[in-house]
Amino acid sequence: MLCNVCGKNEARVHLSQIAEGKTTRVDLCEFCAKEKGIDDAPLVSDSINKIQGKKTTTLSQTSGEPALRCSVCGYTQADLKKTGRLGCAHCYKAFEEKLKKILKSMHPAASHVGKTPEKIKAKKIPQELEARSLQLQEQLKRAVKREQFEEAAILRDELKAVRKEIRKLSLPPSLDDETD
Amino acid sequence: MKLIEFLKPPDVCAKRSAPVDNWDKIILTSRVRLARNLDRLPFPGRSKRAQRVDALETLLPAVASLPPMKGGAHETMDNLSSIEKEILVERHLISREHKARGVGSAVVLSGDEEISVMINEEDHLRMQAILPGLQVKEAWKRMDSFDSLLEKRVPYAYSSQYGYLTACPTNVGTGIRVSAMLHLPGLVLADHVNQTINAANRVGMTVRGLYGEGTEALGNVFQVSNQSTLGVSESEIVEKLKKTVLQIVEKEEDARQKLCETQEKRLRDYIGRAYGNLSYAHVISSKETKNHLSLLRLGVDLNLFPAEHRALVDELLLVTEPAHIQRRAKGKKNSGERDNLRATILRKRLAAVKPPDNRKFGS
Repeated sequence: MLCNVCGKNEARVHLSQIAEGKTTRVDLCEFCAKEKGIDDAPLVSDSINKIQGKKTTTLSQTSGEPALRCSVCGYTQADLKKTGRLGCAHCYKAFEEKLKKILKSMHPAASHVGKTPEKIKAKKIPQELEARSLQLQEQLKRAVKREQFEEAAILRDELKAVRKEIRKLSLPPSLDDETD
Repeated sequence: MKLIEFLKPPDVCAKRSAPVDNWDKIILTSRVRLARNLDRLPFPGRSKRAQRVDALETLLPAVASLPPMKGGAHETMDNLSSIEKEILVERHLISREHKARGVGSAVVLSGDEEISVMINEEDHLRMQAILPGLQVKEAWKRMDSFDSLLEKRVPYAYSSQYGYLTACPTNVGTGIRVSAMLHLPGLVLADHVNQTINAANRVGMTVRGLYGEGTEALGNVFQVSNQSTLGVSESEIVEKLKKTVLQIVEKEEDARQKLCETQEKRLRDYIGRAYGNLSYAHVISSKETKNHLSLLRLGVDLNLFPAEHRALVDELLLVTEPAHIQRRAKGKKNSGERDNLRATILRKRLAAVKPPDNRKFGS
């Protein structure tokens, strides 16, 4: 395989980038790789962008086959394979595709059931309230159409209350976070 | 006060394991462990020294000042000697893995030693509640409320998809490990242990040795725990473990019954020899001691010894452990010296125990 840049020498450095599910490969000879400053793993993420003149977020480097890398802690796919452990919370995103298979072999399901921290539960409420608010709007519309004004008034009041609740919970969490 | 001086004396520990129900003869302890991590730092294995210290400085005051830890004690791992660390392992208060940790790691104990928290083990937090007998539900309740208090103080690494995020994908989700320690001499003697292990595996439970992962089942003690943590709720796991444990207890009772009926002589012989060895040995290893004490315990369960000797057996199991012997001898002892000291302790303590009763038999 020839170098993608000079097109003359045999490619010895292979870079793969996985972004939004698409894999892009760049193959370079040693000289062109050096010229582009690709000799240090952590810099590789910028390197492909440099060569292709593109801006992307998730990146990886390999010599041989494509490998993933956590952009937060720098953990690599090789580290994961070697230790069977992850480097940080963000690794669960960075290695999500690989992990899906691993998790499937260990656990009965792929998503969490059970305890949730109260703070996260509180943040989830607006979504549920949002759904309730939409439902009430629909019911209100129908009630008005059928000229059931008494029911409509009740629905309108409830909708008002729900919207008020959503506004209250949408405040930045920093305002009511430290409760203890 | 030093953490080691804070620990309860072995005879007090042993009394706590006195059975409440009949099956508590077989179920030694119940344990619930939760794994949690801070969201802002890499997991301990990936953390640099400064990050580990950062996690420790965040977590130690937050954990140690929680109401359930009132009257408890804590210590950083670099302040503990290797014997002190080993004592904590022998008491199941820290893991073998945690023993290897130094700067940036710590252990926090509650006053009753029923709750212990390891900081910067494989995860930032490994918190456990350990209770005597079959009390898995109670242990989960204890840990659940402890965790709820702590989550108000420190932000956990959590995702709505994967639950509590842990260094090892085998713990992700609930981060819970529910386990029970079982004494199964009947199944071992009847050679039915492998069958039991396989049956437990089929329902998603793991069976391991005395000190957890990768350890031998010394003294016929086995640890049964859940395998999966993602996609099953904590209460489901607790229920399932309890059910599995009770099934194993039933099998153990059946095995003992059958041994009493069909191999009475063999059983009496084993128990009698164990008593003889422990009472008259001058050099005895830790492994041999555990196996003989297991038979002595079985002897108590089968009424060959008075019931009050169960606490003595449990105390001896603890005080004959290598680090406990060295602490008592106030210094490092090599394995040969320990084998002598161990035999001396056993001879002295068993002098008060009469030989097995040759009339009464059965549980």
